[in-house]
Amino acid sequence: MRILVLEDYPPLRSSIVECLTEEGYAVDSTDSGDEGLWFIRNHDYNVVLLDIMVPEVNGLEILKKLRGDGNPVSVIVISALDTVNQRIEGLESGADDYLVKPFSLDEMLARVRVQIRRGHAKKSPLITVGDLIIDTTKKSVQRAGKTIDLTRNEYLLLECLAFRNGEVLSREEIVRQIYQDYEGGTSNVVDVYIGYLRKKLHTEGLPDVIHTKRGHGYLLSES
Amino acid sequence: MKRPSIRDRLLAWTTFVITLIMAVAGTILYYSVKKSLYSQHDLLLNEAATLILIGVKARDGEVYHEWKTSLDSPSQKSNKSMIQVWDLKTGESVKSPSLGEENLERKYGELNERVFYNLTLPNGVTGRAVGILTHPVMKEMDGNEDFIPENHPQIFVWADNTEELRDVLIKTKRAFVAAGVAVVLLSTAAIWLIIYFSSLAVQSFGSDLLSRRGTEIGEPIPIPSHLPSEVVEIAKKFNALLERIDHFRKKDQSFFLNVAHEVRTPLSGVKAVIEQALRRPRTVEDYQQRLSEALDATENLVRLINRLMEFGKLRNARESMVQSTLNLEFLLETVLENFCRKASENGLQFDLNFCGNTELNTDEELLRIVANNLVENAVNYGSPNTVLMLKTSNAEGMIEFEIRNELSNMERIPENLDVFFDPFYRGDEARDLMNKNIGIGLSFCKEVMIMLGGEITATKSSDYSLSFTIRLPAKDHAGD
Repeated sequence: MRILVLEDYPPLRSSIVECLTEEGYAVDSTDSGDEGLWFIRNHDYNVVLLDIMVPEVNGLEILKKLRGDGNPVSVIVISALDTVNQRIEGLESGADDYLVKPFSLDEMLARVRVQIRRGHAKKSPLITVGDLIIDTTKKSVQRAGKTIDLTRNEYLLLECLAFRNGEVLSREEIVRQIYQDYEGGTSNVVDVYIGYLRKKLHTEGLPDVIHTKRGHGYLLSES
Repeated sequence: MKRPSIRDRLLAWTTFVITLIMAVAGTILYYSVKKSLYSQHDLLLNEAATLILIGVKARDGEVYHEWKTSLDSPSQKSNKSMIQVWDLKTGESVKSPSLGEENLERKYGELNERVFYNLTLPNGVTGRAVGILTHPVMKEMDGNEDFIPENHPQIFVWADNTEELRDVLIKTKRAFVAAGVAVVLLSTAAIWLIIYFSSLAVQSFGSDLLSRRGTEIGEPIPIPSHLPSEVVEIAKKFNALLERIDHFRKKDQSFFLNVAHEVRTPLSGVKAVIEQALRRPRTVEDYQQRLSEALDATENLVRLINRLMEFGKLRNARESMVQSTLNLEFLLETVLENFCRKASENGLQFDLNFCGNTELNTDEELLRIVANNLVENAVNYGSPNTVLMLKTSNAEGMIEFEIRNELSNMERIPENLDVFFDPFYRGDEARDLMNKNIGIGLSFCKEVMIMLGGEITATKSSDYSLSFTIRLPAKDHAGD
């Protein structure tokens, strides 16, 4: 899951970025409105955390431009402006959520997760694919009632496939969603982690849930 | 202290004026009537006297009182006419029977001139008389060949009872007094009622005002159609005042909202840094680094709060201002000393263009705050390796100080330069906050300049320079 943080106050920005990174998200950040707008227009983000009072281009102007472009990216406004009118203005400018400063990082993470689920049309934090259950809040996985221990990267890969289960995801797309410093190009790192995941999920004769579409990528489905 | 009441004053003064008018008018009218009645009475007295006067004749060379003969006749016994004629030559007098032994008071003027006067009649009642100096009427055939009338001057006095006239005047006077009192009372009552009913609208308006809630202060008072026009004017002025109060209230609200916003940003930084530090166990070095970040953010917060405290103090400092005579240029030189090092680090050079005549009568400490802010801004935001121009002038009783610096980011300077003086205005949010710019310095300067009776303005030029100018009355013109 890739997230952009547009916040002009350095101590807050670095803490948010670090917190999101530790949660396994791929995070880009900037303190400039112009740069932020360029990032959103040129990358696929699952969520954008957007401060309103930023230099150059105001956060609300960025929102209006994005919605004007038809960009559906989920945007959470993070602002110290907390009056009802200011919140209404933010939401009506196209924000999906509005978080008033100072906020708890846990609350921010919860709201980010909601936006990611909403972006994938999932209302519940639990994603079920046959007998496979992925708890996106606890970041835990069960198959046929048994908990399966996954590493951070294995989990992120599975979650990425699970959010779009039934869809084929290319290697590049998976890398872009998961890895922090993606610079383009292809890598076999996805194939390696797919192999690890299959080993852990396909024990005791259970059917495959991760399928390879040769020349296209991978998909997660019941059959 | 008892407050004067417009109603009581209006009532008292109106009653007094009406009473005065009625008294003067009544007196004038009464004396006109009296004069008219006496004139009419004198006319009758004169006519009667003229008729009787021809009864003073010369006969057989002597003065003969023919009128006396007619009065002495039995048919005239009841005649109450009081007539007395004195012969100035002999000193004797002839009088009508009704006078008995009494004499009339006599007054007279020139020959045949009628002199009217009041007198007390022998029976003790008031009367009116006409006195005439005359000569006996003479006919040649009456044996008066040697009679010379001029040698026998006669004083003729006819007196008449004026009791009836006096009664009429007394009744007239009473009628006038009664009418006057009635007019005064009715007028007073009418005025009281007018005032009472007029004040009902005012009282109702006052009650409406009192029933307004604190949240309605900004809304203009609806002016009822029945409110008297004089009060409507006051209500309109009151509404204008409310509008001004509301304007300042909104400015204050906006100020406090901005304060909340400005406090939240560094506060959220502190909170996020600490929260992130506690999310998992870390090395001592890592904790130290995070605590250091939190401390920086806290210092931003402290700086902001200190500045806000100064701002709050300034708003209450009007009474504690200390006026003294000072030279603006000396003050600027001491301020510049504090920024020499920083200016040098930024490659800035000062260009001083002082006029040498800048004596002021003002509060030195407050003016120093303004000068400090302006120089600090110029040093912080001036393009590196440029000249920072400071100029003073004294013209038309006003002392000006202009500070001009070149900026590299002129495109970020807004068209409306007044926004510089809005609290929390910052051209560049993030960088300014980290550069320790709180965003209320110029707003602070504006408040100070207003307090000192001066002004501050900002202008930008096409040559990439931005200047701030303060103006204050020169020493000899302070208080003009």
